[in-house]
Amino acid sequence: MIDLMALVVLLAGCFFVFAGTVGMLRLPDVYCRLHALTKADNLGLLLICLSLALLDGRLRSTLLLLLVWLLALLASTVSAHLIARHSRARRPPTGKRQ
Amino acid sequence: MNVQVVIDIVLGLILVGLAAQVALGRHLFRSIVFYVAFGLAMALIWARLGAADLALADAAIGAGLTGALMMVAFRRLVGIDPQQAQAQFTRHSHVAFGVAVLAAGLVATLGLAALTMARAPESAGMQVLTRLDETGLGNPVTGVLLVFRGFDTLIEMVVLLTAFIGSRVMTQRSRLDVTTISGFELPLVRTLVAVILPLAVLIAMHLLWIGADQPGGAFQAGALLAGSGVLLLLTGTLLPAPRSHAVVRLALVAGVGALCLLALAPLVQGRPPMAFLGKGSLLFAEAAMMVSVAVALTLLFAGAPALKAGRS
Amino acid sequence: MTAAVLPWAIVFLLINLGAGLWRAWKGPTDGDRLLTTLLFATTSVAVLLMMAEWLALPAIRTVALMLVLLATIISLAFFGMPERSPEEGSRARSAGEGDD
Repeated sequence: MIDLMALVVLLAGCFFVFAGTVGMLRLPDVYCRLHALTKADNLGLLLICLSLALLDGRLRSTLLLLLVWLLALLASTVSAHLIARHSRARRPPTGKRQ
Repeated sequence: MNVQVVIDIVLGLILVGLAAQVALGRHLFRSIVFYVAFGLAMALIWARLGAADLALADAAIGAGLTGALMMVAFRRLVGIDPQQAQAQFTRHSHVAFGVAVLAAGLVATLGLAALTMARAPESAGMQVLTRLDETGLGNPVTGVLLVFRGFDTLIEMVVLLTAFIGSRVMTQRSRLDVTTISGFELPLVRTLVAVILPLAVLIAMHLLWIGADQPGGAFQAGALLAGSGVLLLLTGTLLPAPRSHAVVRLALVAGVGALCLLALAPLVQGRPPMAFLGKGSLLFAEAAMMVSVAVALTLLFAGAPALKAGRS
Repeated sequence: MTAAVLPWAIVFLLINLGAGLWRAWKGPTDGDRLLTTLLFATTSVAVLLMMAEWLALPAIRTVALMLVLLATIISLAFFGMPERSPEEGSRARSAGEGDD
């Protein structure tokens, strides 16, 4: 039962990472791409961590996986902020395809 | 098809594709981005091969430090010579092509030779694994680095020190303040430093402590600390200082000094130099090496003889 | 059952990474290129965690932890970099120099 849950969550995680990549490749400008990539990817990472925690089952590993996810969240927040700020200083959002 | 083979093929293709783009790319900046990705791919491959020690070092140095170094170097190049930073390299030299073909031929020959060669029954690696129990260490990598091949590690620390001195000679009159971003105007950056720094120090100490028995050790811990040092430099929490300080110099030579002590101490008991003295002495040497690696790499990045506290 | 699917999920994520490199190649701005390193960092962490489970090597989790700790270095080093896209290169350069 737990194994099946882990499988479903793992596949969902892979789907969100995939969605993030598609968004990064297909969306029209750097702001949209940032938006798609950071949100979908971190949700995907959370689901993958959750699945791995279900597979492993020990509290120590679960906490470590949670810590990794929280740090990844912080890192991509700061990175996305810096990239967006840099882009806005050079080329403000227009809403049009570049 | 076997899934392990598929993973290996995909990883190999990504690595070779990235390497080709780094070497042949026409935009300098694009090549730098590919180089950062190359470092991450290397870490993935070490992990895939089960070499956690190497993956740890590569995650810090390959993906973090060298990428940031190139990015900052590019920023300086844009400042010094915008034309060259913008230049597109449309032509490759014929010499480079010849060298590349020769190198590829050499790699292919060596690879084929290695595939057909019979495995030596008494290889050094096997000897290490069979004799590791005598040392009481659990991590064969640490055993090789500090017990079986201790002199190599001593020379490595000397190389790092020499590299630092060489770079000091080269950069004595350079400007010191170009690396830092105006980080403290950004609200998130302050939080980032406050969260990352204590955790990085904690994990570096953990890596140092478990290094004797599990993947980790002085180089990995030092690289992580150096990465945090670079983070502090980039956010302006630490700034390059023009004059060196006795403490900094002591930290730089601590690794070499501790390893020399480790090599000479057995002579007192009438044993050969660098004979194994027990786990306590190794921890002492590793702690000193960690400090030296961290300080030397951070100062190399800053291009400065010392650091001072920045805005806080 | 999940253990059997796990390596294939790794393959899927790696192919994802390879596809994401297209954005680094295409650009058009430097910010777009840097996005790829974000994708690479997050996905590498996921792949490392999955490898730790697949190969039964918990030490690889520490590699993932190290990677997320130092993931922001590249963006921080990038920040303040002058834009150098061809059509507005000259304006961006003068704007960028005042920034450093």
